[in-house]
Amino acid sequence: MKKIVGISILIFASIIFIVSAVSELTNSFFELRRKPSALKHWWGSDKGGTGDLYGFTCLPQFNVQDTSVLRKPDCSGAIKSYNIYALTDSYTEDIFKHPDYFCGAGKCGYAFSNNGDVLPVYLDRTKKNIVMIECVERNVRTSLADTSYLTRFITVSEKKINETKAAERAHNFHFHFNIKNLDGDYETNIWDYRFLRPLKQLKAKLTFNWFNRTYVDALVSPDGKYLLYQSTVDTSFLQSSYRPIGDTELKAIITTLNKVYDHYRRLGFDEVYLSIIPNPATILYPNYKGLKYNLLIPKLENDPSLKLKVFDIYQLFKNSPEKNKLYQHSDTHWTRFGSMVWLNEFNRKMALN
Amino acid sequence: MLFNSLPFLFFYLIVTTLFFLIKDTRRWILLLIASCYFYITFVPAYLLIIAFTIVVDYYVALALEKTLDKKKRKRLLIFSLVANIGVLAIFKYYNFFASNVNQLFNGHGALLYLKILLPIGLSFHTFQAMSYTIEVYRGNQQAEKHFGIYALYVMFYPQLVAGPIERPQNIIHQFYEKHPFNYDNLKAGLMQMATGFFKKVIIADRLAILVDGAYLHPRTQSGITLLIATLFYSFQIYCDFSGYSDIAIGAARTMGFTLMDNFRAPYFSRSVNEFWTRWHISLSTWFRDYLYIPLGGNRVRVSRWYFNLMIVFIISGFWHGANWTFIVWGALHGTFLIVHIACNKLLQRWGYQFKPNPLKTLLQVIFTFLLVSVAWIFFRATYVSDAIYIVKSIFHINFNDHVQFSLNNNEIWFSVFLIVLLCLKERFYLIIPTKKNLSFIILFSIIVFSCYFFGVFNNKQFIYFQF
Repeated sequence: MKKIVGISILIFASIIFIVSAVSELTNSFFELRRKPSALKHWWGSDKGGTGDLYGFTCLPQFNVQDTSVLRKPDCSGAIKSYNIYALTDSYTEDIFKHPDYFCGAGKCGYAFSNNGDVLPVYLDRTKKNIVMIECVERNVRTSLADTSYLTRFITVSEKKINETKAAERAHNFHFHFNIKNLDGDYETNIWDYRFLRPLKQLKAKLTFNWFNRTYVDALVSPDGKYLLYQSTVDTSFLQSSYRPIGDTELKAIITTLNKVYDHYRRLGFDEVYLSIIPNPATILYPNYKGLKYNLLIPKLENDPSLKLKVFDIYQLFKNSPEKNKLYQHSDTHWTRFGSMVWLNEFNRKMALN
Repeated sequence: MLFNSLPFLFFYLIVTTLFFLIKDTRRWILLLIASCYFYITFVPAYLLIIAFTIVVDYYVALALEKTLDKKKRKRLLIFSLVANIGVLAIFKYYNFFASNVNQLFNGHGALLYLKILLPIGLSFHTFQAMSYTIEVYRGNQQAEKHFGIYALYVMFYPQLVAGPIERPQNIIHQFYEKHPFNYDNLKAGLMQMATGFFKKVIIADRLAILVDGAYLHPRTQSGITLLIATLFYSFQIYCDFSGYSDIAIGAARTMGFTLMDNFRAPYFSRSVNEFWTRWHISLSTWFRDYLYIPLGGNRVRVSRWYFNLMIVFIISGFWHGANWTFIVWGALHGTFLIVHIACNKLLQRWGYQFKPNPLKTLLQVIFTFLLVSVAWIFFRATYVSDAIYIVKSIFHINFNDHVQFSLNNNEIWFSVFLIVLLCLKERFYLIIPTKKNLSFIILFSIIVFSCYFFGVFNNKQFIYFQF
């Protein structure tokens, strides 16, 4: 009997150990459990479909889904006049996955800023080739202050592009056995199930109601409507919308961006655009508990020494009558509605150029 | 891999069940592989450093046993000590040394800084390795012939990164012994682990929220805030470190191994002297046996005795971290001890005799706790100047000052309740019963569920991991 119990524990623990160590397996199971058809079953993902900050806090009032839709804009009559290559983050990645959403774009490619991707680009001279650097506001003072993304796009011949694509297909299936930083994977594999939701929500409610705390990375907004990423609020973080920015720091960011501009121009790109997505706190709570917005975006975008063309979304969001639809209530990101506002505005501006 | 993490839970389950499923003679292989895996989950490359000290000490010990020539034996011991202390000097102290030398030249010194991370638990496993060669040199321990067993002595995963710092006489023979599955050991070990988790995630990490908030920018805090944060820190560090030790000792116990106790209700000590017989026992006895006594201990002139005490405590402070704050912390404890001894001598000379009574004992306990807490200020502060500021603020306290806590009132009182609970358990040496299956299951479940519902889970590392 003891042996059977021992072997059962060993098999169960080993499965979790192996699946968690191989991130490809964890991701596959997670994708399986977050499919809409799986979400209603006990084994479906608890986080699937809800915001990342809900995943941190598990507060039941924030277990809400983004019901807006990202759909193809009406591109009738659009002329394909440019190719766009974007350095994206999780804000616009979903948009750039759909090249046909960019009405005037011939070719569309993107590199994800977090994983160090380098995208080889063949410059098709029949159209204007533009680089778009998109960055969420909370990462401006860290990511845009270094030049590590100078080499994120390299220009190559057409033949080389085809060879690279073939090589990518050949290496598409691979496993990595990880030994470090596995907490998130273990948590996904043993904790992210719908049947555990009541337990998680009970703990979250106890902590919030009794101790007025949530998980360390998230805060409930003063009006109780939004979960905010703590680093975008707390002034001890560079990501904070309220941490003052000095001229020296601003100049350093602009100098870096201008270097990037010169670099891509030398490579043969025709234009480099900058688009900064405001933090939710910037738009929704410009005066958070007596703190004042640091005006990072307008200061940076309006600086006359900045060589990049600015695709400004800050003013549009700030003046939007539908502010409450732009950002998810339980996520660090915008809603699909918010991303559609960005996309439509981009298509409109490019059509005018 | 932190003890308070999900990866550790599954690692522990796999290693412990495999331990009982395989043959006795193969268990050392399992434990050695598991310990290597446990260590490389922090920084894989640092396995090479620990491997270096293992190889050096293993061969030095064998050579020590082969020769009777005193000079040669001494040279071998010195070689081993230099190798071990050299690793510590490079990885832990070099940058501190370089920064101080460079500061002497107004920041224009020529010493370069090494871009290295401190290997986790380096001070612990280095001291454990050193105790082996010293014991072999003294003839108290035979040199271990089995390389794998010796490597396991240094690397045994429960106590690898933060002790208890074991002696070879206590642990090596246990790797040869058979450890049949034993329910009582399993239950007692699991309960001790659960108690350790309770101390860590419910008490230490909760108090840490307030303490970290106050100590991050101490100059913006009021005296009363700093006072409460300091008192809370005394309990935070105790629960953090003794919680770790409980998990380590419990994990080893479930497999049938006995590790030495590291704490015995230290905050009920009646003097700083007594405190050091109850706090981090494995380290204080290490310093006693391998530094204090070789220096002459107390069998020397009084001035030399005081000097010995001060040296031992300063080195003990420096062992904790390469920062002046730790050195001052050690020096403070040395001073407390010397003053205590001097006062006792004076009182004896005057013919005063202590008659113990409960009130006097209580006052002594409170006074000792306050002294230890003052010293903790230097241990916790980032800079000595910050620590001095905190001490000044506390001594110029104004009870009308604004209190800024990162915990709300409910949580402050909950923390106080937890501290009282802890003190009662420690004062009356309460041991959670595990003999009867039913009571074990109920109490174990209560502790586990409490850890889940009231635990603070923010992946906060154990304080002593940094040493």
